[in-house]
Amino acid sequence: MSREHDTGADTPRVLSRRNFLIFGGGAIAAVAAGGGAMAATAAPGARGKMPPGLVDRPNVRQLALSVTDGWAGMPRELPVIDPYFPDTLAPAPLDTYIFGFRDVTGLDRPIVQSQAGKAQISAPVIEATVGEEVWITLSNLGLLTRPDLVDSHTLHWHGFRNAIPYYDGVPETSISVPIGRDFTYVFRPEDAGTYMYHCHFEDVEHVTMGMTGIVFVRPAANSAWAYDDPDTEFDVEMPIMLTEFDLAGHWNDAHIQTSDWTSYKPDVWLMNGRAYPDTLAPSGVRDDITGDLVPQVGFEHLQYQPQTSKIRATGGQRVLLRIANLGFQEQTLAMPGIDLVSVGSDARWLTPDQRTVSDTLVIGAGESRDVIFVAPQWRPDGNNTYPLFNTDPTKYRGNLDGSDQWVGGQRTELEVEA
Amino acid sequence: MTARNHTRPAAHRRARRWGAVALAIAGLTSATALTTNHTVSAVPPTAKSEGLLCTPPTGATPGQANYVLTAKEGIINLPDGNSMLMWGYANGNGAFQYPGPVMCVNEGDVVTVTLRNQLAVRTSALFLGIDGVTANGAPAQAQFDQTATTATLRSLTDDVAPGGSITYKFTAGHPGTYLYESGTDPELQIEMGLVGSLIVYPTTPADTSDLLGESVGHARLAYDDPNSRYSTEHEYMVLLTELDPDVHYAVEEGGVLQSADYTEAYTPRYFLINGRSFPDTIAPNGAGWLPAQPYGALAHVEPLQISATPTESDNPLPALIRYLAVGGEPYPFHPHSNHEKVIAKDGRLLSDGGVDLSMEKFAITVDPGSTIDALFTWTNVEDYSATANPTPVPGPDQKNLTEGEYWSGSPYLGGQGVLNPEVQAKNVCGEYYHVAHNHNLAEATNYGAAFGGQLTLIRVDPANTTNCGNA
Repeated sequence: MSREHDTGADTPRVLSRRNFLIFGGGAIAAVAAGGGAMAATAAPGARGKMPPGLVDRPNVRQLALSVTDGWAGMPRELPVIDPYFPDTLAPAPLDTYIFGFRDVTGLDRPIVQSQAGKAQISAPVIEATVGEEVWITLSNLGLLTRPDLVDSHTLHWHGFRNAIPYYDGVPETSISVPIGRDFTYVFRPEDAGTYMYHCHFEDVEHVTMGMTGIVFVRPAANSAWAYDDPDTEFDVEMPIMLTEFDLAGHWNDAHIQTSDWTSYKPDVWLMNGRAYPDTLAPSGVRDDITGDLVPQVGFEHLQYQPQTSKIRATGGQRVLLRIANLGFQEQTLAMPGIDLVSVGSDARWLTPDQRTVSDTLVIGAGESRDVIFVAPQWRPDGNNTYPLFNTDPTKYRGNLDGSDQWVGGQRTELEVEA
Repeated sequence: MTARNHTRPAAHRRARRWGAVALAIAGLTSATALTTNHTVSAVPPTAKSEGLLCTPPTGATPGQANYVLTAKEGIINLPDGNSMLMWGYANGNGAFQYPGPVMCVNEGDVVTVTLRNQLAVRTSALFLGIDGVTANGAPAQAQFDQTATTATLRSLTDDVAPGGSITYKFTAGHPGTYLYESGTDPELQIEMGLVGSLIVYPTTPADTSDLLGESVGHARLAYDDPNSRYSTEHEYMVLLTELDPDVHYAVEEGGVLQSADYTEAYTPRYFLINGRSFPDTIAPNGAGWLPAQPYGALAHVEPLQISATPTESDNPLPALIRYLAVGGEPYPFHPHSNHEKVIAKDGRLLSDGGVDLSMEKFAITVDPGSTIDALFTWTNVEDYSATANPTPVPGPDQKNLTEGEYWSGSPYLGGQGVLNPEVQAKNVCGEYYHVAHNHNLAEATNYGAAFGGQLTLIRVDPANTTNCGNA
């Protein structure tokens, strides 16, 4: 059986620095570190291996994503929703069935295969630069908890201009990737901005189960600009993917039940795959020997949700928020007292005439926004925390003891550091 | 009430329409208008098979546009075999249809709309975004049921009793895309289907001078502004609505609906474009198997060829998409394949003192009761071809892929391959298909079943070829 592409042997090659992609936890940690744009660094050991079957090519960024199922953890304080949450099939300390992507760039095939059943949410953040060619090899590892579901998967780059169906990832108008097979998607991004990607196979189910991530494109002129415009320069950037989970739908998928998606009613609202207060926990990393994500002490339930939403900056730094919404609802986020300048919308640079300045932003399903704000000066009295939250007070789950209304909702913080 | 075969409730009338669905798909594969039996359709058989389908006004007096709308009930079909009792605006003495006629008038026209009520309840027509509407000669006003001590809002505009008629009149002051809908018990009557669209065309002629003087009869402006120029051959309507079957069932059974039926209990299950749910959205205008749902939503274009000196064969004019929404929440509509340039909202250009504020969007959120006009082109930027410019990574053997029914079997525009034997291939000539859909993906379903609902296709034919019927 021919599972490999015929473009060459699976020869380990050393990637150039610019070819390297920073995925998932490592990326976010670099972002939040402050003092500059997202650094082109990587988790140790991630370089040196190509996606299966591909060879190194100049000016080509080559990545490997696997798709599979797995388990995530909602906030420890979240009340029980009988029988849906916590899911009794979940391995402790996890509680919610998911489908998702994983970054398996640089891993050998047996290690990649060992990641079946270990999906993550939100999907790895993908970064590219205008003028670069991006190859993303998608490997379908199947669903360990649902071997009866023989779904294929795809990668749809949401917002990619002048797409051709072959690389658009809509199974009905194109091809999709069966279990045990690979397919390499090729993209040549020509326009900077914040985009997103998701699986389009059985789209309503696969998207809400967690197969959603951010992909952003830097302008060729300057990697510290959001667009080809010095007014969009930033010091710190934070991608934030907004989604929601109807936990009954997740339980149904784990327990071989079907869902009527027109009854969709979310229970938790997520930033980067986590609900508050987990949004503030640090980012996780991949162990490049085992290929697995590493659990963090005190946050073991977030092993497969490696992306923090905590923003760290020093006073006066320009912070770029790349916000994408792949939930099914329109959301309004607010950062009271902070001027959020909209510089981009749907990966389109906004002219000075089109920009808005507000401490609130509205983002519909499927839309993206790029906003820049200046971090307030550090205060010696210790009041250096500024919340960014969903203004709809009904979009949270509540606390087991009823004390913190934001548990299970979209809320994070800017921490101004000295 | 109109005569109707009413032996079983609509919600249980699951006529097996698979034959009709198969026909709908077959319709897609024909590049020319189908000659299906239109005798029961709400639009004439001579109507164009794709794109916005205007109902012309009656009367030949220049500057006058007259319409007669008849509010009546009828039945629509959904792709899963369900059918539903509806109320709608019919054109004059024409058959029931949903949505109502697309009224197309010119800027400055005096528009007269006579509404005849064949429903069992009072009804009305409210023209959103239109100034100076009169009803039977007096300024249109909200209507109240008065008692000695109370005044209860009955209708947002002058309404008409069953069996009666009322005449609305206004001057079409601004070009653009507008909604009309019932202002009487709108929570029920809009849900039941009393909605339609009104297009006002500008009087300014389109400048065609940069097309090398070629005859481009299909160049037109959407507004009195050169940035709104588009091709009349590629003008499309996307009217977004939703239906809760329980409401329609209750009406059919003569039930009395309470406010809680529109708040707590209200759960739409069907999400429609132009009164149809995918795959019916891609069937031709006036398809005989959708007699009460005359408007298709398939967009059909050729690639824009980038040229310093464009000619008509370069397809330099964009398509115009007119979005309208009626329902309980914003619909986030996501066209695949390229951004669309949003040039107007609610019948007004996006500009401020001459500053162009149009915006390219990959997701267009259409709010209830509002309209958006957007321009669309698609360019074959990569220009991949099997010989001169193959895709950088050769694909695996097709046996290692799952293939879709609209897939051509080739990555290349105009290319075709034989699909895996289990796939019912629907591609004709190597054309590309892209989806355009509501990104609240629960609403891109037919009662929860994926790849349905508010979803349609954008068909891109190879430029200037003969085998797609578009030489």
